[in-house]
Formats: sequence, C-alpha cells, structure tokens
Amino acid sequence: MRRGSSFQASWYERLLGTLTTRLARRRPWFQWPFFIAMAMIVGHRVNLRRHNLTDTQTVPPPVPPNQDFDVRGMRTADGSYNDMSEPWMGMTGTRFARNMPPEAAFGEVPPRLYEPSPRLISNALLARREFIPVPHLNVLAAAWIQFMVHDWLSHGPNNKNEPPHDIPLPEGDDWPEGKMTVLRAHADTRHPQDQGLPDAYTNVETSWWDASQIYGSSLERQRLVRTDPTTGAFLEDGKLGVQPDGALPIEGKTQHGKPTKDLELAGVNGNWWVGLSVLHRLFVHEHNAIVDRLRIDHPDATGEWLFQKARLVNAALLAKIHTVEWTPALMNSPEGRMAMRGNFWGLLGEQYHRAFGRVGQGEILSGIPGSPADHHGAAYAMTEEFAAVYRLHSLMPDEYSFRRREDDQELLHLDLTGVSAGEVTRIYRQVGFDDVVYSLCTSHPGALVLHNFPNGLRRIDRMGTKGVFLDLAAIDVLRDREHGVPRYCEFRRHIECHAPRNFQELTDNPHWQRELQEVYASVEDVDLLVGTLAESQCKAHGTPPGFGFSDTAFRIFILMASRRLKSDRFFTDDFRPEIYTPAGFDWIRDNSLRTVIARHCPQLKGHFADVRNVFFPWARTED
Amino acid sequence: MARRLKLAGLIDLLWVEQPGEILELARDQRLDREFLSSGPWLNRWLARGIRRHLQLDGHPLPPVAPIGDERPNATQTTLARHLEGPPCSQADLEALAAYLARGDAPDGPGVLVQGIIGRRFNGDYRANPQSYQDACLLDRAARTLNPWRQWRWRRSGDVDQARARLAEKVQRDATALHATAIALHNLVAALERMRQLVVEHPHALARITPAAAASRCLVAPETVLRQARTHGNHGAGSFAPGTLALFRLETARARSLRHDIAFLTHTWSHCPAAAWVPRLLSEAWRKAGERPAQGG
Repeated sequence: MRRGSSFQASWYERLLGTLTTRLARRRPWFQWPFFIAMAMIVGHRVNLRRHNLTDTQTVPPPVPPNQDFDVRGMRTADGSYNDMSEPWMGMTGTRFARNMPPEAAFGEVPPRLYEPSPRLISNALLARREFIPVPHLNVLAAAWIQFMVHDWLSHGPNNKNEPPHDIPLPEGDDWPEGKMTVLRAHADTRHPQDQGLPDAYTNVETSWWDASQIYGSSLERQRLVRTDPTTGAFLEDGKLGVQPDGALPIEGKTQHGKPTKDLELAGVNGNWWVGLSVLHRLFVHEHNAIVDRLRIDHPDATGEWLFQKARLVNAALLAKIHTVEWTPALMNSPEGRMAMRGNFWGLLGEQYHRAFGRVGQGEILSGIPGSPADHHGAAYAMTEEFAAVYRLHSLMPDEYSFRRREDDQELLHLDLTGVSAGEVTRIYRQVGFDDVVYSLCTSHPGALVLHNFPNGLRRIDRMGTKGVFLDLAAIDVLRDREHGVPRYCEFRRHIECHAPRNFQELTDNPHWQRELQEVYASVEDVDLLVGTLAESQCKAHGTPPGFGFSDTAFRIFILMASRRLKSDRFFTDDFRPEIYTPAGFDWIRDNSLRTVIARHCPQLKGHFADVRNVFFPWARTED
Repeated sequence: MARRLKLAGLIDLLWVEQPGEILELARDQRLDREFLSSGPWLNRWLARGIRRHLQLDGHPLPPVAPIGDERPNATQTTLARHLEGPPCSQADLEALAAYLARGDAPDGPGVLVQGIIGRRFNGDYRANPQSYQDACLLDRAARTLNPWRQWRWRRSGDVDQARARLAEKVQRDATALHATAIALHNLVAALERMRQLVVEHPHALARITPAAAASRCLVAPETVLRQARTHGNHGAGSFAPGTLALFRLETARARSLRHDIAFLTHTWSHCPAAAWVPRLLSEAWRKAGERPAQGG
C-alpha cells in the first residue's frame, strides 16, 4: 500500500499548495478573482495529490501472460500492462483505491449504518416532487456521464451469500410488503496484510480510460462485440458488430448473465437506457470509421492491428470529449472551462498546441496528454470516493418525449421504465435513431438538488413480475455508508473544504434546513449525497456559480480527472503518433462530439450548428 | 527511499520510513539485533545502551535478541498462543471502558494497562504507581541519547533497581519483563489517543466503529533498530557492517495504517501481540460505547 504522501512535490508546488490552504481558510476558490481562483485550483490539486491518494492493493493480483500481444503499442482487454513496471495496475478485478485516509474509510456498521434510515432520506429529502431541470444542458449530458462511469468502474454483483440489509421503513411507508431488503456489497477477500485496514472492494471493469464500456473488460467480452450479429462470425476486419440497419446487436442478457429480453450488446450493458444506447451506437460506428481511415494508410495491416489501434484512438477521443466538452458544459464558468480545457490543452490553449506543439514536459502550459506519466506516489485505481460523488441519478428525467425531427411532433411519451433495458429496442421500432438523438438533445436533464431524484429509480421493479423492488436513492445512501465513504462534513474536512457547523451553514434554503433538521440529529450526520445536493443552494461554501455539481464533488474531480490522464501511459509517455499512428493522432486532435454526431447523423447538423457546446440544448424544429 | 547518514568513524545510520521498504529490510537477515560494539563511535554507543538496558541477567530481552539460538522463537510462539481468547478479564475491560468514556482511571491509564499486561503472565500481578514509574524509567533509559543522564543512572543504579523490581513481579520472565516495562507504553499511548478522540468528538464512540478506532489509534514503536552484519545493497539503500538501520515504525504505520507494519508480522522478528493489541483496543472501544461518554 502506498499513499500520495510519498509523492515528492516540487518546492513551487508545495508553496502553491500552502498558499492555497491559507487562502481557502478565508473563502473558497470561486470567491477569489479569476487568476487567483485558477492558481488555487492548481494548488488544491497539488494538496489532494499529496494527501488524498491511498492505494489499497496490499497484495498485487497475478497478471496474465501477454501472449505475444504488443502491450507497448495497444491496450490489453483487461487493462494490464498499462504501467509496464507494475502491470497489474488498473486492471480488471483490482481494488478501488481511496481519496480519504484509511482511518476515515471504515465502513459503517449497524446501528449507525441505518441511522437515519436511508429510506427515510429517500422519502423526505430526495424524492422528486416536481421535475427541476437544468435549462442549459441536454439529456445527452446525463447519458454521457453514465457512459463514462461504465468505462471506469463497477462494483459488480452484490453479495448473495450473506443476509441482506434490512432497511428500517419510516412509519406509514407504502413500500411493497412492508420490508426493504438490500443485498450487501461484496468486499474483496482480506489478506493478512489487510489487518488494521478497512474492507476494500474490487472494480470489475478496468480503471483506465480505455473505452471498456464499448470493448468490455475481458477478452471474452471483446470477442463478443467483435462478432457479426448476422452471421455469428468473428469480424476479421477489425470492426465492431452492428446490425444491417446500423443498430447495436441484441444480446438478450446483461454482461453478468441476467436475462433481459431485447437488451442490446455492449462491453457494459447494465443499467441500460436509451441515452446509453445512443452513445454506444455512435461510438461503435466511430470505431468502424476509424478502422476505415487507418486502413487507407495501412492497407496490409491485419484486422487485429486495425482494431487495437482504432480502440486506442476511440478511447482517447472519448477522453478528450469528456475533458474539453462535457465537463466544461457542467462547469459553465470561466474558471471551470479554463481548468478542464487546460487539463487537455494546457494554459497555452488549443490553437497554440496545434501551431507549435508542446512546450516542455510540464502539464500546466501544454496539458497532460504527452507529458510524463506520474502516479503521484500511489498506484492508479478508481476510488470509492470518486464513485460516491458520481452518484448523479438526479440528472435523469422521469419522462421522455420522443419527437420527429422534421416537425417536432411527439411520437412517443414514455416513463423511465419505458426507456430502459430491452424497451430501447422497441423505441427504435417506432422512432428513428436520428429522431431519438434529436429528442434527447432538445430535452433537459434534472438538476442536482434535493427533491429531484427520479421517482422511477426509487421503485425499480428489479425482477419484472416477481415483485422485487429497489429504491436506488436509498441504496445510494446505504452504499456510501457501507463502503466507508465519510459523511458530508468529515468528507469535506479531508479535502480542504469548509465543513458546515449547522444546517444553516449547509444550505441557504430555509425549507431544506428545516427538512434536514427533521431527518438528521446533527449536521455531522448528513450523508455525502444529501450534503452535495443541499449545498447547491449555499452561496458561501456551496456549489460554485455556473456549476452543475457541488464544490465537494469538484474537488474529487480535479484530482481524479487529471489522474485518469496523468497515470495512463497511453495519454502520457505513449501519447504520440508512433503509438497511435499519424492518422489516428490527427483523428483525436481534429474530432469532437460535434464531428462524431455530424458524421453518423448528418441530418441533425442544423440543430446543433449554433450551440457552443453539443451538450447544451439543441435548436428545436419549431424554433 | 531510505536516508543514510554516514560520517566516517562517527556515525552510520539508515533511516527507513516507507512501509514497503521497512518490511523488506525487516525480512533481510543481514540486518540483525546483535548490537555488537562495532562500527562508528555513535553506533557503538547506541548499541551499548541497548545491550545495557534491555537485558535481564545478561541476556537480551526477546525483542532485541538476535537471530539464531538466542532468539526465543518457541517462547514467542507460546506467548502468541497464550494471548488468544478474550483479551482481558471483564473487570479490566470495564476499567478500560470507564477510562475511555469518562477518563476514569484512579492511577492513570499506565497502571491500568501494566496490570492488564502483567496478568497475562502472572494471574496475581498487581501494578501500582511505583511499578509504572519503574517501567517509565527503564523505557527512558533505553531511548535516551543524553550522556549525562546515562552516566547519572549508571552511578545511581536506579535503572538496574527498577528492572530488578519489575522482573521480580513476573518471576524473571524476560518476555513478560519487556511487555510490562517497554511494550506497555505503546498500548498506553493508544488508549490515550482513543480517549482524546472521545474528548474532541463527543459522538465518536457512536460514530466510529471499534475496528476503525483501533486502527486509527494504534501506536507502533516509534523506532526499532537493526544492525548490519555485512555489506549490503538494497532498493531502500546500502549498508555496511555496523550500520544501524532505524525503522520508523510509527511513521510508517500512520502512513499506511497496516498492522503488519506496526507488528512486523511475517518477518523473523514479528511481535507476538499482533492480534491481541488490536483486539483489546477494539473491545475496550466497544465496551466504552455501551456507556455514556463524557468529554473533558
């Protein structure tokens, strides 16, 4: 186990970190002028790298032999060999790391685990009363983050061998059968070296930003998505399988084997809904387009080589879109845009980068891609805290209107269940793909505030007709407690954020203050998820202006968004034309979500031609 | 990376504080605990101090005994087995809980802990302020770098007398002597940390699980020493005959929270109380949580 505290920051980084700590005691970064705020964001990142990275992999897992696979020039299916000196790092089945010190990361146990009842919190603080939209975003933004999360992490199936949690139900709750049970999380087997440490959980996906949601996190899954759905034959040309009409193949079950009628095939197809389906389809076609482009320069290359190089390019394009398009859309302020674009292009910016290339090896002036890899003292892995702050279910609307692009006439109106799992295939039978994309991109996602958790996710009929229901809001709260993610105040203390001393400091909304007080005995008990939603209405210490998510989440993002790039060899030491091919390298530089959609849905170009960011609402036909 | 301070003829020390490096070096049998009078002047002086104070009847106490015949492996294993089962009596657990919850300990936590440890070896063991003071003196003597104090103690014979009194209480059992005179201080410090947690955070007993509290408050020996027998090169650094390696156990434990660092588990010099100490701390915390806490 290593911690970021063994990371040797340079003297000027330490100085910046120290100054940031002092300034942040007076007021948070977003309340300072632009240049100071930018310096503080960098300073916070230095401090987070030093104090908030803990590797939990006490015993590295065995690494499969690479069997003549070019691990230097291609991503392995399971994520191994990204770091050549520690090839297990970030691979499928390794543990989640932590952003909190180990002593703060012990899972809660009863009775505290159930206090206050997660179901009570779901009912009283999270349940959507009326849909509160984010007017400046479209629903593709909600789908995108789930698409990314499926690339980075999954805790996998829960533990069926132990008695489930029995969540106390509040008086008068109408929960079916008057009993709410939730399967326990599956902790990794403990080794003797784990004595004294909290339980750790494994990531069943690769932790790398390698598009494993498309390609899978195992060779077996990868071969499946490379199969022609019409013939059942392996595609020797390096492409991904699609149906003759361009739709994704049908698998009929999740990647964990749960039968689900008409469910589409993808590297990760759990929690499937129409938004995910759209993005998977776009990027499967993008992969095939990249293969076609590479074949022009490499006519003699094998299908395997073309596939692997196209995957590298596709994954890097996704990383770029997330960094310079999605995140700035959610952090819609000058500082937010600058911080995220700076991560990719550096402070000198895209135009300078295109004209003159990188300046030096640093990440500040020319961005992280192409700079030297650095794990900052702790082996790379996704973290539990990152998973916790990415619980963004409130982004999901409860109702979906599918309209025809030509005249904006409604063709279908569905609830969440109607756009989920195998139902997606039935939507495509009635609504064309372009119309589905048009409909999602002209609708708004939900805001990350209290009382906006989709009710469709608060009573999911998990087993179809068998009457097994889930309340995802309650489960979100429970899992954070179970995984040892500290509650809101303690969490903030560990990331240099002001911890509210009372409910009045947590939120400016007097109704919320009263409601929180009715549920929680003390502000110290407020759960992380609830706190991050409540701080959306707190001017002094809460969500920064223009941001779609909390400052609490942002602190973890600035650490982990950089780390996903900075630790990955394919974004750092080997982010170069020799590895990606010159055409592949140019593809990443010259493309964006705008060009991807324009390539695969050319009819829609007019609807997003005038929007600054493709995740902003598109023009409706009637406009 | 370890830091080495070497001034020819004067000093040759290797400081190690990275958890992984400590475990690797602790397994390396080229680093032993013979503490011979070899090497530079300060090394010899430090080794002499250990030999002089941490011994009974001329034989080194087990935790500073070298590899080989002198290392009482069987005794350590027997002791580890002896420490299985309930960590202490119900009455002792109540007393620990009272200290954690309310700060109640008439003679202080040191006497309480010394008694609990002593009774693992001798059912009739009774600690008192004098026996605890003796333990503190022996511990100070083993740690001090102050030559004036060393000289004064040698002349007065205070340390020898304290050791003799403590040894008599455990029938001259070397392992028990070390436990009740030296090792107890880490346990006392751990309990004091726990108490501090309760004082500073009034809801700590309810909010922090026993396992978490034990891990958070555990205290490892600040530094343990090894002496190089031969020349060697290691990822952590190089050493020569007589080099004293200082394993900064508490720093490394705090950084990783791993118990195998604190107790050097899976090394030839593992601590037999590796399971007992965390169990005692957890049980005390759990028990304290059953009673109303009181800060200040």
